[in-house]
Amino acid sequence: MELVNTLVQGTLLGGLFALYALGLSLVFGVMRIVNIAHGDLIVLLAYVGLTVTDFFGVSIVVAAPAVLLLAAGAGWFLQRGLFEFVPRHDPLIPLLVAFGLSIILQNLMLLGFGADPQKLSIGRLEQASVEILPDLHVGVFSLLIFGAAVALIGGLQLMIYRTSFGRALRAVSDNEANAAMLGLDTRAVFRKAFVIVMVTVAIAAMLMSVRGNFDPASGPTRLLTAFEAIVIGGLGSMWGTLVGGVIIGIAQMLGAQIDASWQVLSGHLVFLILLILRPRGLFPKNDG
Amino acid sequence: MSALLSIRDLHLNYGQFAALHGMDIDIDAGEIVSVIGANGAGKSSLIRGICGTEGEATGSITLDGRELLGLTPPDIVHAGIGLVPEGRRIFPSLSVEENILLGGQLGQLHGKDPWTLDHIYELFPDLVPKRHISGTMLSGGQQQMIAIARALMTNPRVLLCDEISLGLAPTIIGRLYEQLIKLASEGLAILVVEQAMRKALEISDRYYCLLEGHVSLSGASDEADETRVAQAYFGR
Amino acid sequence: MTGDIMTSGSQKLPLAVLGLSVAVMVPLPFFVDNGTMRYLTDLFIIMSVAQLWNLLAGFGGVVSIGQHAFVGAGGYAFFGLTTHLGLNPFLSMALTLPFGALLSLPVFAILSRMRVAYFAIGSWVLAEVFMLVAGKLPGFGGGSGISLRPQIVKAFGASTSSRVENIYWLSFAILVLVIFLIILVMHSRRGYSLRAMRDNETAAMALGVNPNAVKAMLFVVSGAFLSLLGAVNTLQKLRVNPSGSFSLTDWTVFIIFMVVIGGMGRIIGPIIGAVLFVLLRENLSGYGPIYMIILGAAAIGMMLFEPGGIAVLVQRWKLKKAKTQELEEA
Repeated sequence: MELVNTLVQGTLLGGLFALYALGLSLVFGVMRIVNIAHGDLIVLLAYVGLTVTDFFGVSIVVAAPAVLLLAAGAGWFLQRGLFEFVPRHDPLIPLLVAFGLSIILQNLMLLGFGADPQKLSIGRLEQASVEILPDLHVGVFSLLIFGAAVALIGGLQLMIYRTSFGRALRAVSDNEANAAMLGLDTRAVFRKAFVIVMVTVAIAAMLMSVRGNFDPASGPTRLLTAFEAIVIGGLGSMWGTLVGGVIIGIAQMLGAQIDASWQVLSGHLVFLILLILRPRGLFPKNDG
Repeated sequence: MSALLSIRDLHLNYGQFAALHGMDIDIDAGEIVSVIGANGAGKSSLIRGICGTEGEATGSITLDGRELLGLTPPDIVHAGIGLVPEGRRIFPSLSVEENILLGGQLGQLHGKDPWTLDHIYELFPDLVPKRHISGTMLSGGQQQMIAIARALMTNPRVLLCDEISLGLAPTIIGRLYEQLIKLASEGLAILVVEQAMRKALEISDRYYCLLEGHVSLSGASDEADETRVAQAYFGR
Repeated sequence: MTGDIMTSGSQKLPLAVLGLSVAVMVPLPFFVDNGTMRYLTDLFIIMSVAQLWNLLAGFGGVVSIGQHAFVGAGGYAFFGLTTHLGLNPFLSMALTLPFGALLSLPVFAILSRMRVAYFAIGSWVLAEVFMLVAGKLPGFGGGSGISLRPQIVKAFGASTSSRVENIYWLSFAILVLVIFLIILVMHSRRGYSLRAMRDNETAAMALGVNPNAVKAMLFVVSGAFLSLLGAVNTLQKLRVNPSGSFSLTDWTVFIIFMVVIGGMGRIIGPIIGAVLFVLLRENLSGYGPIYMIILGAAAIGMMLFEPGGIAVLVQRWKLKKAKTQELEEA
């Protein structure tokens, strides 16, 4: 029973990891940028959530639309104000720009909010649990996070494969130069894509900030788990990313059974083992 | 009155290198104009100049009196220029139908009825059974049909076809050109860039022969004298 | 990419500069105090680490965010070889070189399974694993670390001042060796194939260059020397501990900023960057986060406007000055 409980908790934690990963995966898929600052953006939006809730004295549930709106604006601004000017012919340059951005964000947050860990609260729902099997209690909020991950992946899949914007997105992802030559406004596609990315980041950030602590330096850990979920799942496969997240989540929960200090390490180790066994991920896509 | 698409004194430079030096070309609605020339004569540069994709252009390109020079590629497509690019450029992640529909997202309607999938499939019935598989899984000829269909979906007034016969079997080339002739008869202006001189002269109303970045010879295709064209094609 | 000063033309100039600096730096301990020597030792170590990151990224096109993995591993290896195996301290230090080389082979084998762009984050994950594992090794003091035994430290000099001198010479020798090796590599046949690869991987492959083999070679060289530098650093700090020995900020973040600001792809770049960094650190370290923000912004600015860094900016400025002088004389 203990084991089943651990597996269930790990699976639900995997939902959160998948949420971290979706934006990172999109940015790489569409813009071919490995956004090293992704984890820091998640933490930044958690602080945005904190600020909005503090300022208006409302719960994050009420403040969510405002946070999403701010995130969308930030996404547009990041693309329009920074990434649009980054030459991408040499993958080194965007990588190092994102690296610089990551360090800047971490230190701005340190200046603005201090190093103390923060957490948001939504009251009773946090502690509520349901009995899904005899003797097996699961937190309602953990279920909610997993549900959000599934819903968001479903929604993104619909957008990518069923809408005209998704068509444009895939065309740009296939070959940006060809898409531009045919008259597709690739700059507009990129801006919209980054807006969507930041909306996913905001959703992940708000759920994260209620689930546990965050501080200005906690971005990189989010980046690494997100990255691991993507690589395990296979680049470009969103459901694969969810599976990857679940695998890391379960590995972490099993590790935590040994000792709290094994939690993160066992996640990394399982990632490395899978990388050696399945370098292209569990659900590889054949898109070159 | 000037032609539908009227190119005057078009120069195109890539940095220090001048690819086109002063080109005059006219295309009217309903006619097929072929542009022939050897490799490096400036055919691709002409296409790039019209589409605004590469190089610094000077001179003038007007479509129905509207200046296109200086517009962005998306705006040029909006204005009514449809491109069938060299090498077809089909997107592998998109199905045949999605590749075609992508064209519909790029253009803008100019007066007449818009192109729809039904019209496209009427024109290219071969594509119907394959509409849901990846565009790059099809044969070269069928991919060329997708590329033409995608350009038509932008509802162009002028269709630019860059080397559409490249690497295709003669029978398929014949069928593709039949469709182009039909499209022209319905009022579309078509500019065909070709390396294959004879084929180009056969299907076009008028021709321009390019040599080293300028027009070396032009005239009505059926009056073209092969020796003179060959001279203009290869230089003396 | 842009015009090269260090790579094109002859290797005589950099070698001459290297010789001159040896002539100045080697006798220096007879003239300056311990504090200055410590300061310079620090600079040499940082500069060497920066040279090695530049060898990977600037010359090889491989971005690693996991350099601290090897620095830390080298420190721990030095500690283990001396304290647990009881080996001679000098031999132990020398052994960290092959240790680093051997360690980098499986690391590269794992990382090279990922697409180019993901190599960076992958190297970070591995460094994280190294650090966490180091904290769990029995006999290394766990998470809080452990100090070197006095007799091991004393092997490098009985008195503090003689030790400071010896470590100074040691770190300077490593720096010279690293730079000398990089000059050699860049002017060897492999060096040319490397530049071909950096410009165009597919074209280089067509010429018979195996990009992965070249990258592996660079990775092993850098891993070996980073490990040795980790051992020297341990001797400086007198102890190993996971967060200090495997410091992401010291051995990777600062290093990347130094090279990017100084000039990627040039030997002079990391030198400029490291000197500038050490000077700025003296004056700005009190500002903590603001200092980091400035470094980050400067690095982004360089990447956007002059990926060749200060090295190229200076070169441009000199050219411009020479031109105006010519005009004035004419």
